[in-house]
Amino acid sequence: MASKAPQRRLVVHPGAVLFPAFGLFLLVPLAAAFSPLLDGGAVRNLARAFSEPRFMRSFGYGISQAAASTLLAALVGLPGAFLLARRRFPGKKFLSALSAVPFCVPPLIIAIGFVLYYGREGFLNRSLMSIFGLSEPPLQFLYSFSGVVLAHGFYNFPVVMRLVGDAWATVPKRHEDAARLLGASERRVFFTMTLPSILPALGAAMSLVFLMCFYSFVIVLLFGGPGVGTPEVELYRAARFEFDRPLASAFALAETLVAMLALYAYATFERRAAGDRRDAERSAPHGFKSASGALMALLYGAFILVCFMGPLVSIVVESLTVRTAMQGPWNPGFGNYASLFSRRGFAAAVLNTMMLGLSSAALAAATGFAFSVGLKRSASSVLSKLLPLLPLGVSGVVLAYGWNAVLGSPSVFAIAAVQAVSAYPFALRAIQSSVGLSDERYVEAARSLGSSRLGATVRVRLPMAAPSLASGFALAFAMSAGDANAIIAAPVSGFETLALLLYRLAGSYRLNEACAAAVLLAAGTGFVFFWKDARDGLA
Amino acid sequence: MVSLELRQLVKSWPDMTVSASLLAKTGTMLAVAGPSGCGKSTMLRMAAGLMKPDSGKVFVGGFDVTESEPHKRGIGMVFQDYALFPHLDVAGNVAYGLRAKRLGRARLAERVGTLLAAVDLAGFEHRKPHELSGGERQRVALARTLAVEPSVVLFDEPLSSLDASLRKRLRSDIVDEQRRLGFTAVYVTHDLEEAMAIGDSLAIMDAGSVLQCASPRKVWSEPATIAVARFMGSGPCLPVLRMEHRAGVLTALTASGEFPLPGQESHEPSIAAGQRCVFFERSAAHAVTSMSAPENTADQGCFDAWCVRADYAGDVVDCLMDSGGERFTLRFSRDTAPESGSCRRYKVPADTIRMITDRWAYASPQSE
Repeated sequence: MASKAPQRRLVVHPGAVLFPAFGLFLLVPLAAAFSPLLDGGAVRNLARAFSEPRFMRSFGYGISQAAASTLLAALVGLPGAFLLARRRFPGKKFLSALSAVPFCVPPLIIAIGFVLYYGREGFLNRSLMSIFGLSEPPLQFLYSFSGVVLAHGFYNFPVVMRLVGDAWATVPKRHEDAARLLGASERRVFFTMTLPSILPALGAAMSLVFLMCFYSFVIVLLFGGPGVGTPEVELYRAARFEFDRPLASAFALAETLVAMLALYAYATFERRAAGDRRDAERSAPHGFKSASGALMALLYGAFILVCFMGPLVSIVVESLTVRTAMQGPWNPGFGNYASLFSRRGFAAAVLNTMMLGLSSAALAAATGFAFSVGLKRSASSVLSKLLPLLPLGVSGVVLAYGWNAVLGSPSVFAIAAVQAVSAYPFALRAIQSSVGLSDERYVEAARSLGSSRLGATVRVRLPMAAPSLASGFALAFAMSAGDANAIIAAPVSGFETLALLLYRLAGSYRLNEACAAAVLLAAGTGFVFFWKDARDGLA
Repeated sequence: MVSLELRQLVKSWPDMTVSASLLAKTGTMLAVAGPSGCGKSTMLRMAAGLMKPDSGKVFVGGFDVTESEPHKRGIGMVFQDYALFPHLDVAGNVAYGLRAKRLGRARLAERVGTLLAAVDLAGFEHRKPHELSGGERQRVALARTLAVEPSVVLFDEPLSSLDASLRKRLRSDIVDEQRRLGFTAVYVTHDLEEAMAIGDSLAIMDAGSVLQCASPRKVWSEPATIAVARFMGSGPCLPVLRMEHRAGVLTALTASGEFPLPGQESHEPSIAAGQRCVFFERSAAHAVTSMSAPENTADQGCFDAWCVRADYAGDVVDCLMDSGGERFTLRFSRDTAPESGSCRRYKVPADTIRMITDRWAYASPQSE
């Protein structure tokens, strides 16, 4: 034994690798993003920032739009959660698959879809005008607070639907049965048994949606109008157009603190939601008992189709519409794709997207795996609970801004690092769902059969976790390839990706070509996402 | 207090049919045992009204409650792991069913206090379920169920996830409470030992139907069918090759030996049509020494067997025996147990030998 002890120490402790890696990718840019605050005194800079009216206004705007969007997402998502958990109906798979949208359809595409569908010249307005013979478009809310809230709410409702639906489906049946036998009406069963069981999941989902909306960049940038934007947008403006680095840092610091509060709420709800319900018998979903129930579900389905699928479908339609000089009837064709393909730099953009997506996904999946192995062994529960979530509370724009400050100039490496960190919490979640990682007995069995710690990880954990690793990888790839925030915030000259191309096409009102690019991008990320059923990792 | 009767309750799925008839007599505990997935819980859920039967009727105290709402049947239920509401404290759990009574706040607290005192948990009002021990949880579950004053209490494997020693203690607590309060109870479990210990009567279920319902003692020593005997494990089932009259006594010939069936001369041929077995209790066989038994009677009720394995179980020894290719377990006292590997001749007293078939001879499930 005496000779073995020093050998043991040579084995690299996971923490020794993980914490520096984590520090490099998260803390270094974060510190760099905050450091300009110290130029000329942190207190003075903060005081100046707080005295600027747009500082407080942007936080008021950012928080209120995120709260309103979260409320809308919850309102739209809850009926879906109920239907997924408790009812059997045709199209259920489709509804369930929508939960992939917030992760594999980039916000930029959603934004374009909303312009095409809800915009002044959009499908909805044109239809309403022709039906009712109006001379003015009736819906003119898109470029306003309500437009942002609508886009965010619809974009994120599947998150609520999925997370709450999963919790709803696993409410132990015997609790509800016990309540029924004790004389509770169905109403009382819902309010005293079902609701308390799904509230933590609802809280977790809503905090997550709040975070995502609070940090939403592209949608606010496009729909927010010229007035005050969210802190994320104001940070971008301050850093990129006004070169006011202390102000940008103040925005970064304050918005990170707000996000940390939301993250804390998320972690608290998440812990309470993760009660032990695995063994309990569940209520099997059944068909509709009454015609009114079926009618309500039908109305809900129609609502989702019209309000949520409409924008997505109009992107596909628009991409196939060839615009000619005169406004004629619908003129389908692949002209937009042809002109997109023949664009100079298109092939490079596709290649760059692949490279960027693959490298950040590899980074996210590798750290995710190392973390889920390492955290298993770390004694501190706070550390193991908080560390994986931390990147959720840090915005990609802040990180990109930080990397800029560290490296002096924008670089592709920085973008990959930012995207990896942003995608990493979701990749980790997918990876952690693996049995091989959650059940220590397999590794213990391998160790008892003579494997070393590392050998057990390589020969047992890794192969067992392979499917979930693939899911995590696919998820991270989809999120990174579709992400435009980091590149918009820190553009590297001469480096274009599909997402950036899409943004520029949309910005120069070449909507048809933008739609073609959007369809290609969404097809790519969606394909990768559904490959290996990555969405199962989200639950 | 009243009785609970299930009359031909049927529930069908494509791959399984549960068809159960049972009677739990007033103030007694009926234990229902059967392997996992045999339809015990389904039967209980139909009785409680949590699941609608395809056909059949449920009677509580002679009243047909088949169409009644679950809480209007006078049936209470204690669930697996007790299903205490985790977000409510003990008082909240116990008071849950009292809401319909619209007691005032003070009366409600008083009633909860009385109920908790009855199960020896006075002062536990504000504990949460996860702060309680297994025994305390069970008593809260019982108090919660008894709060609505049911005439019949159903127990759905309440102890199945607990460890053996705690299970033994808690089941005797349940029996004590049931005796003291006098409610009619149906107790479902897959643990045969538990079922025999707890039940005034015992029903054996398999593949969706009740195979036998009688006192535990009777089911043990006089299993109605081969399936019951095999489930109980109370003794060997030796397949009968043919029946013959030997010296005026009907005798069953098996591969192991010949077993006289005195008093069963009027054996119905219809029963004899199916698969028949000779059954005797596992502790009824005794080894014979060549001196003690005269040659001419030695063949009657005797069989040769060798002991494959002897499992020491404290004051008794369970021996796995092999006789004519048939394997079964016999139980011996410590001093008479054969050595593992030894081959000896065993004799079974004629009056303990029974003949059973693969079909049930009884017409009605309630007959004993």
